Amino acid sequence: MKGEGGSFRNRRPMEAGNRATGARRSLLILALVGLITGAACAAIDHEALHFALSKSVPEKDAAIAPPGELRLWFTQEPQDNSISIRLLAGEELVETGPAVQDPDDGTVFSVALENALAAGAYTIAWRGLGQDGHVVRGEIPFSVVVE
Amino acid sequence: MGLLASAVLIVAMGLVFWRQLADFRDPFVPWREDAAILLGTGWGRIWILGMVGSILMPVLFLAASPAVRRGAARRPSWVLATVLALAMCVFPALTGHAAGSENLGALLIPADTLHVLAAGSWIGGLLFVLVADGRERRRDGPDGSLLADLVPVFSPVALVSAGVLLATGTLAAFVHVESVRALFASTYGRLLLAKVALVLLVMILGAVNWRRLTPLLLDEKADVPIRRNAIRELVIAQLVIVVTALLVHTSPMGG
Repeated sequence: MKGEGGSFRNRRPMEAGNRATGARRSLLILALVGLITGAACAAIDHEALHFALSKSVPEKDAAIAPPGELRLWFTQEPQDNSISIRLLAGEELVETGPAVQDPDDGTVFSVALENALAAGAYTIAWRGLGQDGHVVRGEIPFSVVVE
Repeated sequence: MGLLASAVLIVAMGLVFWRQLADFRDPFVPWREDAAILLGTGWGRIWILGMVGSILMPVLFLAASPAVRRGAARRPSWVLATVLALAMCVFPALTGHAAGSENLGALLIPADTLHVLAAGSWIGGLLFVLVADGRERRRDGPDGSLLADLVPVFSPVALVSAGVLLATGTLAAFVHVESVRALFASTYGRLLLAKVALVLLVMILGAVNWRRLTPLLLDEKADVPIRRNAIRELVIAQLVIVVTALLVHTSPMGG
């Protein structure tokens, strides 16, 4: 519901020529703004804008020797203290140390394994709160092979 | 209206926290521990400020209402309530996608705040026009309609708000949607398309009111159609708000 304030009562019809010129000018400004915004946004690294897992050791579906720690890399630093990294053997929680943030790189977290893992299938269940307020979680299944 | 809206805001803020806590849940720690961790994050600290603001709001509106009845609308509590309501517009920007945009935050946080302010001015203003008009008509009959007085005052506000919404919404879409393909393939993109379609409908209704019906208010023939159109505009705007709620809860990076 829009109008032109109290002035509509005394409004005079706009000349057709003026209206066409005004419309052309508006379209031109709109196109320019669109072009500049489009060009600026084309350069945006969308991956870096949002919190997500970028890499892990062990990797997803890897079959490895018993690891000494779990290490996860994220696309950006999560909100304070929001990272949780759990190691599961089936439904059972495996005892680990706390998730520790790398002092040199806030996007990297590691968890020390207090005891050597037995052969079998494991899942890393992680959760974090991105700077955009989204809770992001994921699972990384892997297996331990003991030779 | 301010009192009712601020009461709804308190409930909404409570629900926002509950939803976030449910998402944040780690089944291996007690709820209380998860809640404490969440409140200690940047999101949690902004939420606490928002909650304090939304509890203060009805107090200020209550303090302001006797002043309004006496027509002394410039009393400090009224001004404070207005300032606080305006300040609350920054909450979604500080807890949402704009805040996560690291280098672009300086651009996106003001843009998101303006987006919320413009949506509130347009849709809240329209609701106020209809409520005030309905109240006067109930008291004085059809002759008491305020539309001829209120619509010309409200129209420039709606017009500026629509422009701000378009500009800031387009900017956010460009930043958050990775590609044209993502617009159709991702949940975020599809929700955005649904929002754009609904917003277009609201704008068409607004344009009909503005270009065709408002000039007829001079002859007092347009009261009924303009009211009917405005109610449709409000109903569809509520749908826009529902889709927006889903949109802010969806990660643009999701499938």
